[in-house]
Amino acid sequence: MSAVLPAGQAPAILRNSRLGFWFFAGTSVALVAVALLAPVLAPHDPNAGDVLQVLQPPSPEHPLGTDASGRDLLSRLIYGSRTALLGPLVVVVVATSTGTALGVLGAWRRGWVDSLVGRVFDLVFSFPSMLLALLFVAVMSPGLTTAALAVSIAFIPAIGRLVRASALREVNEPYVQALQTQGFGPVYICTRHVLPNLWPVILAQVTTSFGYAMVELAGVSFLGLGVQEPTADWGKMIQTGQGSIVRGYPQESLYAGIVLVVAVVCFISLGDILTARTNGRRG
Amino acid sequence: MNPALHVEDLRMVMPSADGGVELLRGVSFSVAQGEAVGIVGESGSGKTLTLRASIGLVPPGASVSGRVRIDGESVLDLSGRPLARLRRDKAGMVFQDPHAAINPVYRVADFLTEPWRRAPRQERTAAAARARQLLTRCQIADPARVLSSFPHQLSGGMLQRVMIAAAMMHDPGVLLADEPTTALDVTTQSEVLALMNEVRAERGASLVLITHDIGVVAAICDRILVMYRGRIVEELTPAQLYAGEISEPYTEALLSCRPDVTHRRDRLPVVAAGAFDERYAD
Repeated sequence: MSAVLPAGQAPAILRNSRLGFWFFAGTSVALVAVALLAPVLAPHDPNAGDVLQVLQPPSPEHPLGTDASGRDLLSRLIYGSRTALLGPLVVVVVATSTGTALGVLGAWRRGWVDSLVGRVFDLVFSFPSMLLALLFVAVMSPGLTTAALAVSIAFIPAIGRLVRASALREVNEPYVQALQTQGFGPVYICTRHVLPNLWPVILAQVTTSFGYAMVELAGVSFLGLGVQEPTADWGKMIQTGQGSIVRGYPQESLYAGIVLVVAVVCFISLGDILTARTNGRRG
Repeated sequence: MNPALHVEDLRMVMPSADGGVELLRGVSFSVAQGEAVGIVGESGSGKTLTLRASIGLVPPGASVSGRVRIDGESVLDLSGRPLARLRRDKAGMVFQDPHAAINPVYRVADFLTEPWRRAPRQERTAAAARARQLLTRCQIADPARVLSSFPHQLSGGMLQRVMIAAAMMHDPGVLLADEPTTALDVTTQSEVLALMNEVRAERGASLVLITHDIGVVAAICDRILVMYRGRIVEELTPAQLYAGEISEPYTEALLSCRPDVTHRRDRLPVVAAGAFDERYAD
């Protein structure tokens, strides 16, 4: 994954304490709640513009002001959390299921299957994920689904390698051989026995990936290849707000940028804490 | 009547850069129904490989030849579902370290009744009842508590009893035990061994027991096979062992390495590496 944000940059007090876990977990849950309750929370229709109210400063009517089309910024930020969370969700679901399946397959079969899977991972890894995503979106058509699928492909190797390494250790445990002697098939052993022992590792990786996928997707949207107008999206808002910055109205890009950074830092830090916990338990 | 386990000229070669290493060099033996056979020998003599190969578990990359029959079925010719069914129904295996051989994330009840997880309700209930009954037979005082425990909550001795119960769930014709007491402390060892032998004898199953401890084998087995470098070099009865009627120098050497409470010795002898290679070469 591209190192957009250096991992583990949260203050030490948040990184190391129980408090940190609850802080990041709480903020993440709050974000999800905002996305779910968007129609209730948003004061205005996020897509309804008013030409007489463009680029308004904060007021009781528009708490964060309006954009160049006269749309309420707070409402657009609130609705933007929906695409901001939905995109990474698609990414982690697709990337985790595919990566996990391939990783376990490689670890179980070893030999040429393992080599083939490993080389395909190397191949995908060797392209910067943004480049891969842009290529994919350019060939298909721009949109949230295409962008999310494109980023998923780029994320498969990271999770696949991690799962393979952990699964390799797991399938060599005596209990897996014991299960074979009891006459259980490979698919059954992998799904019911190996996977549950990998959950902590997978969960930690999923949370981190979620944060990175959010940055990546915002980037694709910023370039105009992800979410399309008029749907509200943070990455898209940063882009559309550019024009207003030079005219002295930075609020749209600024607010969208701030919420994006907060959300991404939350998910990545949560992932780091979970990773540290799994490592501590296993190491 | 078919022998419970019949192994004939079992050979295993692990390919390597310089042609391959012979791991098993023609192992042949037969275990009659209800008979208990012990296999002894130093580390690396092929005891465990023989036992695993006899239910078709071959290390990846190794090539195997010879014949293995369990209850008349040729194990090495089977694969996939038929092999799985044979392993499940006709053989039970008890492993060395019960804590490592049981998946830690499931409860004992799940472990024992796992093969019936997708069976009709009636069979599931029957299996659960059988699990409880077998645990009681394995001298577990409070089966209900043990069934709802996770493996880490039980001691090694307790968990090995659970393992024995698991191996007997399908009423197998042959019980294969690979150093079942090595991970246990000395006082528990003899209890668990005696128990395992009783339970399998009651149900008419044969036993193949691998151990380093010749004393243990002599106590519960009908025959003793001595393995060295991938082949069986001598076959003894406990009576012959006690009487000292041993014909092979390797067996003598192996016996001399045991600690003995009646003779004080400053240092235990060891069998020197390769000391018998010439005698037992092809």
